[in-house]
Amino acid sequence: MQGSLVETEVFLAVDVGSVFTRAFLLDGVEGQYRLIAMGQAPTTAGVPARDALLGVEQAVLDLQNLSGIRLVDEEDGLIVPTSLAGEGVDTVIGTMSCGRPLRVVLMGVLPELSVASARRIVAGSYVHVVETFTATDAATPDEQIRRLVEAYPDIVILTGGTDEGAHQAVLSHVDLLLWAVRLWSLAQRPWILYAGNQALAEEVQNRLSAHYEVRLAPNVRPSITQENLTPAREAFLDIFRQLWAARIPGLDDLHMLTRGRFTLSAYGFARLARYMQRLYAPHGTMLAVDLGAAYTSAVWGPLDTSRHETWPWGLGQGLASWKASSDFLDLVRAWAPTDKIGTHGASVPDFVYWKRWYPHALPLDESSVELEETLARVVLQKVRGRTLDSEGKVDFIFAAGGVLSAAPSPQRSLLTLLDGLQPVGLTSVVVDYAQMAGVLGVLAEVNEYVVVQVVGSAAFTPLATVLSPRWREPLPEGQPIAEGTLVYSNGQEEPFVLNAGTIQRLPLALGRRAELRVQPRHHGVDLGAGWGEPLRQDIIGSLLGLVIDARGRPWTPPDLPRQRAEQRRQALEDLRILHSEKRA
Amino acid sequence: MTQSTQELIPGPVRPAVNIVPLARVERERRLPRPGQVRVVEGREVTFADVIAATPRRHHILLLDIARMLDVSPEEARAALRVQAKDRVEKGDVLAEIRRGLKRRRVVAPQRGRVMGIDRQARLLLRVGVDWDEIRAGLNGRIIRVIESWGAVVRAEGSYVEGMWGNGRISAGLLRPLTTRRTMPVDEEDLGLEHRGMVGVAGYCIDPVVLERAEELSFRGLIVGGLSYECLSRARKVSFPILVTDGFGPVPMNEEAFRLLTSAEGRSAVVLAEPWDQELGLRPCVMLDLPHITQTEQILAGEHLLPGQTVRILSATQPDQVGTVLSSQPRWEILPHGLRTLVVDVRLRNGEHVAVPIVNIEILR
Repeated sequence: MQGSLVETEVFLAVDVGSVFTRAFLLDGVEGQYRLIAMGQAPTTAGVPARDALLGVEQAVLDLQNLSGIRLVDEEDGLIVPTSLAGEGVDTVIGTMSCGRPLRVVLMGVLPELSVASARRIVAGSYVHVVETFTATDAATPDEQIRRLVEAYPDIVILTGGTDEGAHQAVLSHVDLLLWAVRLWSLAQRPWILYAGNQALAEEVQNRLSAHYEVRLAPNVRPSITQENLTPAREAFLDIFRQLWAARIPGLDDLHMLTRGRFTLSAYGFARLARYMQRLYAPHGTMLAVDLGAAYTSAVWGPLDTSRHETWPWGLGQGLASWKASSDFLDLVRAWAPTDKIGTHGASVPDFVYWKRWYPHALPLDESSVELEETLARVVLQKVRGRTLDSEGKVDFIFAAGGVLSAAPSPQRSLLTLLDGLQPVGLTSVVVDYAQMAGVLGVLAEVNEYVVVQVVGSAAFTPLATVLSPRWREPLPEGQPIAEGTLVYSNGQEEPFVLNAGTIQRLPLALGRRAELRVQPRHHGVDLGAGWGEPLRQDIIGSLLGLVIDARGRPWTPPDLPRQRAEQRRQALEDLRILHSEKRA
Repeated sequence: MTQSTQELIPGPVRPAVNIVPLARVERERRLPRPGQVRVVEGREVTFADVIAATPRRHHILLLDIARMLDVSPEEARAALRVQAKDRVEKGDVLAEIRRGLKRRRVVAPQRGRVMGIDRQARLLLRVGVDWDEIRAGLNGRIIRVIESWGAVVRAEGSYVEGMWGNGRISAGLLRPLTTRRTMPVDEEDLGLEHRGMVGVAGYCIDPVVLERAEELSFRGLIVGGLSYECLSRARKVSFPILVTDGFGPVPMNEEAFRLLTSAEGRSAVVLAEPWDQELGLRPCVMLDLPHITQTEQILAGEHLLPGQTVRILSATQPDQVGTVLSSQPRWEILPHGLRTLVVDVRLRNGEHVAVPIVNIEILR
């Protein structure tokens, strides 16, 4: 394994987001890798600067000021490697999420085999799959040509056929691409990534390379039962990076600065999320969400079959994806704690539109923070709809994104997550407070120790363990639904009653362990173990300890804005005060 | 005053909103995807001239000549009477074969162009194209062609930038609709005397106003704020709508209102295309000026300097304009806990506030 505690390296990790660029310094402290400091600057990929590297330089200078460690020399160059005086860094890695999604067309033989694999090649990246072609496509050939041409893709991923398997279906897609050449100008032609039947690779190359940039990768489906995504995924990522670099000045320089250790933030996030799942729910299910300004990424499911998707939804530029959806604005209205905003009395949709055009503007007062949290709740609800099943049971939630990481209090992060995702059962919750999940995921490839040790540090303190029961029949607020006891490792016991419609918090400090025992009062209550089943489980300490969200599922906010504001205030109060303090 | 005589506030440049009485504008006009540029450098253009176009929709027919003639692909290829790139009229013979006394033909079903013929003797005929076009947007001169993408247009006049546009371009004579920048425009404010005009108002929160403006064949509407309730109608009307400051009952900034209302009766081109934040191209209005001797070039952004007029970006408190006081930005933790770089700003009401630099736009 690369890297060790004997030879500690100093790492600079850079994340170029759509709104902010962040620079992280990681170094060994008393034998353990730690996050030393984070610098931040506005991203400069767009106008007026139009050079992503400028934002990186500013973030590194900020990091230098904060850390007190000299990172930049007299000529504004990054000091690499570290000097004997302890200046500079040894290794630089980077992630990016600052560009527009690429348009992708998928081609394959069968929807459930090669096309599904092609979809997994691009899963999680910043793309928009604009068209899909299969051998079972019922459209006429001219209709297919028209669909392909008018899709105006940046990349076509051509798959299909096991090795030595189907020929004709693959070649018909090659024909389709050759027809499209007649209608696209040179500048409109996409890249072609071929990852299908290897017996056809040479023919595909010969026929297409006169017209297109063609990349060959090993078959994603060498046999019916085999799937080999990694080489095609790497080839796809390389094309992706080249296309973004052509559009975003400065990205090529970052690629050089990081010596190629520069990838998509969403990929890094997914890698770290899976690592976190090994720690918190190796045999359970996870929902990891990264809520950005332009994109939202999610990784979900059991560890061995988890899925990763990235959607062009977000709390800034990503709001544009909802412009045609009145349902989204209705949801925002239904969750907002007010219906008139600010000194001028704007409406909630006015705020949504404003935020879409000014994603970088920070909330300057409490009411703006509340509105941004409202948007987060609604986007999280959309994520829930795409990821969790109807039961909503999930063992581990890992959340990232400024609105959660930089929330005014941990209680607010948690309440936003609980309102938005509405998990059922017993769920451990961790928030990426350092806002470094993406870069840490990339660092895992370089030095696994860094990840292990930073994740074990305060930067990734568990936020809470949440018990969220559900019940079949409507219950009046305050009605007891279960009794429980938290048995601490020292034998001390904390009894409690779960009352419908309430939130309560029991202490379980960081580093402590306890056994949770809960018995439902009747068969119509599910604590996560099944209808009427008791729950008995060891849990670990966290920032907020054990939180019992007994508001029921699904939970919908009150009808009137004033009531919603009061409910939110009460819920935050309940999360602040411990159960024992309430009893006292 | 030049930057060298003042202390620059370090950090990236901040975006600028240009409101310039005598401006020289060099505006990049780009297609959404590569296409054909239809102008040359040096050409004079009016705002409505198409300068580049790219196909949006192709109307095509794929004719299987072999099947239509009931022969093998090889025979069909030999029977072809046209080749790729040929233009054909409806009824023109595309392929013809003789079998004894019998003659079989395939004729062009429509006027079009042969785009290609493959080994199977399938012929791709393009019978029409719908184009996405980009217009000059301003009255001026082409100073640079961007191959496959568009061109840069240079224009001079009074210039005001906004933050939202409904995608339309037009021109007309300016006519204020409200006397104050803080006033909403009502349906009653619009009379027959406004027919064919470009109206200027504080803000608009009533969709009926837009319907009335459409009835009066408005050539444009410029407002400080536009409410969400108006957006759907705003996207449907035929005239351009330019929003300068925000959404909802947001007044127009003083600088823009003063410049626009003082230019009553002057010809204005309203380029209300959506704000392209990647390229920094804002929707704008440009007023023709008869004789310009000295102009100021507009900028997409510049370094923050003490004394600059800035707009503070706040969802809850719009219409805050002030003057930068700080010579150096400093780190501060905002009331809700976020640490950020701020500068001191004196608002027009005299209040001093610390504003995150990311919440600042320079008003030029």
